[in-house]
Amino acid sequence: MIRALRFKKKGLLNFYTPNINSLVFTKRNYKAYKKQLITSLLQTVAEPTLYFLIFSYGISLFLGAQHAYIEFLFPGYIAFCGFNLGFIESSFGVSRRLADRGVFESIKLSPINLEDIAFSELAWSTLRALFCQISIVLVYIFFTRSLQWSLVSIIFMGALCSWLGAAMGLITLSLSKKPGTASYIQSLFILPFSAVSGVFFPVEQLPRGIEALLFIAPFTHATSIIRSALEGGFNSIFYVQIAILFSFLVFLTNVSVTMFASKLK
Amino acid sequence: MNYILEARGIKKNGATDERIKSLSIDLMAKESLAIVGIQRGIIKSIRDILSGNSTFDSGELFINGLNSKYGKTKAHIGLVSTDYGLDPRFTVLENLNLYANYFSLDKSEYKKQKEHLLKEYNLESALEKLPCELSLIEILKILIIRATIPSPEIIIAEEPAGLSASSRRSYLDLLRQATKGRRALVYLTTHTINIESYFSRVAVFFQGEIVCEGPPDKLIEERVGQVVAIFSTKDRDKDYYIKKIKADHSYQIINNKIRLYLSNKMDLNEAMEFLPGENLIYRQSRLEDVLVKMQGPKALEEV
Repeated sequence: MIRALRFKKKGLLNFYTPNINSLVFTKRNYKAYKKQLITSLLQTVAEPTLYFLIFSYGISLFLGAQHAYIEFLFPGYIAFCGFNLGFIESSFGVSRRLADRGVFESIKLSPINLEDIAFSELAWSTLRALFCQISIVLVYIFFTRSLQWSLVSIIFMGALCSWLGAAMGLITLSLSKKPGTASYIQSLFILPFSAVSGVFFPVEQLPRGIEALLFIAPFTHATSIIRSALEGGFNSIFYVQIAILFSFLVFLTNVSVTMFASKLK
Repeated sequence: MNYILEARGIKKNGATDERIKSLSIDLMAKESLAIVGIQRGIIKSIRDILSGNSTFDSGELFINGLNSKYGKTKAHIGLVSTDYGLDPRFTVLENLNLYANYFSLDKSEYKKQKEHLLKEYNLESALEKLPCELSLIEILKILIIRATIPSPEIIIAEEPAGLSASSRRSYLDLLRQATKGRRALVYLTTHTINIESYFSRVAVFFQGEIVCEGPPDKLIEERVGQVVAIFSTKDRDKDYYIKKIKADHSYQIINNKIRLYLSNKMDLNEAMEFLPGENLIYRQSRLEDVLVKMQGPKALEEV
């Protein structure tokens, strides 16, 4: 309650309206990324793609069913990568930029609002995760030889997952007083929750209690939505889950933008 | 009056060395004002408030007629401070380009201005260097160029710590160069070296507020008189001298030496008659004496 009141005082419950001009900072991050392209690609694109390749191809071989596991893993893995890479970039990546004196200091002298800077960090984290998601889609196309329109919607929904992960990362960074806090949250919460939310195996196989617990986490809905989109299952549950995901998205974006802007002050 | 900067009764709470009890200043085009204060924390607080990077608890700040509470004043201010340095990942040229992007400047106009400024400041050879490869004075030059690129009406500059005497003069020359024309300058520093010759007005900040403000010559004359005499004497004679001077002049005892601020009532010859001949130094008053008189020996340490 006290925390909620403090949030209100800080303006956390105010509604943030995005400003397209703020994306110049996203452009700055992209330019810095390009300067270390090989290292950046290895860390955030090549590694997750390689894991996807090994898991899907290896387990499919092990099960003796060609492409069976790749079909199951693909949608969940898109969501999983989005959450995790979005979270990592907006917590560790932004924290590194905060430590490099001069990065935020120079943009703070410009007329761009602090909220807009926070928004542009969310956009950049999402974009960075998107590079990896696109690479996974390409691997999927290569193995299954199926090029379908639903892949576009999957990329879009994958981006939503990345945005959600990025917002969580930015909130974590804003709340943490020590640089290592984000890694606890990542290892103890984001990674296990996103991994058991139907990415590697169906949620229905878990005990009832855990299944119910996972229902309140956004990861489960995100994984399920992407899976439905791939299978063409646009039923009422799909739209309910889309609504839940969007509610999380709007709320967490607003909170993360306000909190990070306050940290930048 | 058309002020470019108007600060009225600005108050900001915080730690003792950052607290501002009252800040009221105004500045017109072409004017140059040095705000002199002893604590670096206060200097930073003033810098951040005036440049729109920090909020304040009460009072009003107008930049070019715009109320800072509603934002949008940053486009009118160029800040030169090493605390707001260059992006370490990018070269000098990339830093300038990025900054122009942040301000959404017209590309062709920016290019022309950038080329002109780089030539003027003799920095063409440093364009491809990273900030970590530059000397302090080169960094300051780039920061001045960066600050002037969006064509602001005011430059707010802070003196960085660790500047040598010659670099300080070069820095002040560069700032003077950057503010030629209609542009106004606010300079924030902890001491008074070179201030008299570079600034048209000086404001002395002490214990959270501006205690005096005006042209340097006027301030010196009003606060400490034309001449300062510094002498040491034996302890038993101290009372004798103090009795003689305290009615007409103000004085301080610093490091066992009496600093006598000769009021305009007495000329130097008259003073020489009763002051001890040995260990006597007398000289024309400086801005430094105003600070020492107000802030005590601590100001001398800073000088």
